[in-house]
Amino acid sequence: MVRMTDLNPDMAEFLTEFASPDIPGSPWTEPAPPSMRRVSLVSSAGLRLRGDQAFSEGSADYRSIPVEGAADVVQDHVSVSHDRTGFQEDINVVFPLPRLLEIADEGVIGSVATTHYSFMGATDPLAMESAARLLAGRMKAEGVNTVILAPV
Amino acid sequence: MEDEGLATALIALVRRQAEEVRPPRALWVPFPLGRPFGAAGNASFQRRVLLALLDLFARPAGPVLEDFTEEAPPEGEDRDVLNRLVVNRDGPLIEEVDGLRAWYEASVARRGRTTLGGSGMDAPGAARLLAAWLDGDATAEGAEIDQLRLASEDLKAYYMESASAHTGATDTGAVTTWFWTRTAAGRIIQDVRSKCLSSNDAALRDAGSYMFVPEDVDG
Repeated sequence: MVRMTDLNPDMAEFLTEFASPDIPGSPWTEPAPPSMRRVSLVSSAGLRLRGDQAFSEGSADYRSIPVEGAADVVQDHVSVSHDRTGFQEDINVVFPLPRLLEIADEGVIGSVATTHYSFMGATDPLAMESAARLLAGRMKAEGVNTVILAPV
Repeated sequence: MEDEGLATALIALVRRQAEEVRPPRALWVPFPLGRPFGAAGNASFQRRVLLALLDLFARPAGPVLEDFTEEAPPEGEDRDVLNRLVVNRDGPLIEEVDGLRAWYEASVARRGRTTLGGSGMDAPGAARLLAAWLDGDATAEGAEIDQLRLASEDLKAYYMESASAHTGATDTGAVTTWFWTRTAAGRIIQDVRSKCLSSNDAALRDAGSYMFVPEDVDG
């Protein structure tokens, strides 16, 4: 499989030299015990339910993806640095909700949230802060205490 | 989110970025961009990635940055099927799109889903928009960049899903090469890129640089 060194040199340089945001502090939340974990997935692939409002380039908001609709999502993030053949074949490659539900059934985690989320790719992370904080509050209101963050 | 009281764990595809940002818990994976959980159609492998990520929650303090060192297994690829698809790089786009319809429908039937639809158009509609925009058609000339990029992605999805309708997961090799070198759709999207790059509009030039055609595709 491809590593960064296998990418087109210009793209590899862009990704490795890209100025990462300066995020102050080192936040740390003590995780809940495994059996008490209620887990939500957050992607930055620009995923949304078919028919939901499309992401524009640079969108800083998010879309909600309820479990019951998650099999029919489309991806708005576009980049020539990756193809979508994996995502086309198997949603788990990008958004492993079915895998997460399986391990919840096995008791590896406590439960899976009823709603999952996606932001848009290639958006300035600092621009997404207010939406992320609002989303965190929404998640906590649903009893979520654990979040898996998946870029693409 | 961690600052708001949620425990988070992140898949890191670009290790250096994780080193700089120092998220509370990150698992670097040696997979291509576009495949953060490894390989399509391989539940046991995806599960191992997910469990390794969840295992980071057992660390007593952070920031944590660990490596998932297992390479993703290869995905299936049937090159012979590509010779059975009727395409013609120099032929009319709409006829080519129509000719692949049975393959696309077989893909939807096997997978039970399609990723086509971001633009809100079907494949012929996406093809017509791109062709009309290239021709300077007044109805398409004002198409926004978002419409062009989503139409382009939908057209790619239609072809890629058609090409792997019966064969399962595909890697980034033969099918991608087939699309860009042998199909009218590949030619049209390369022409869209060229028109964007020669535009006086800076936003269109940016879009032409990174939204339509992989860097390693000539044309």
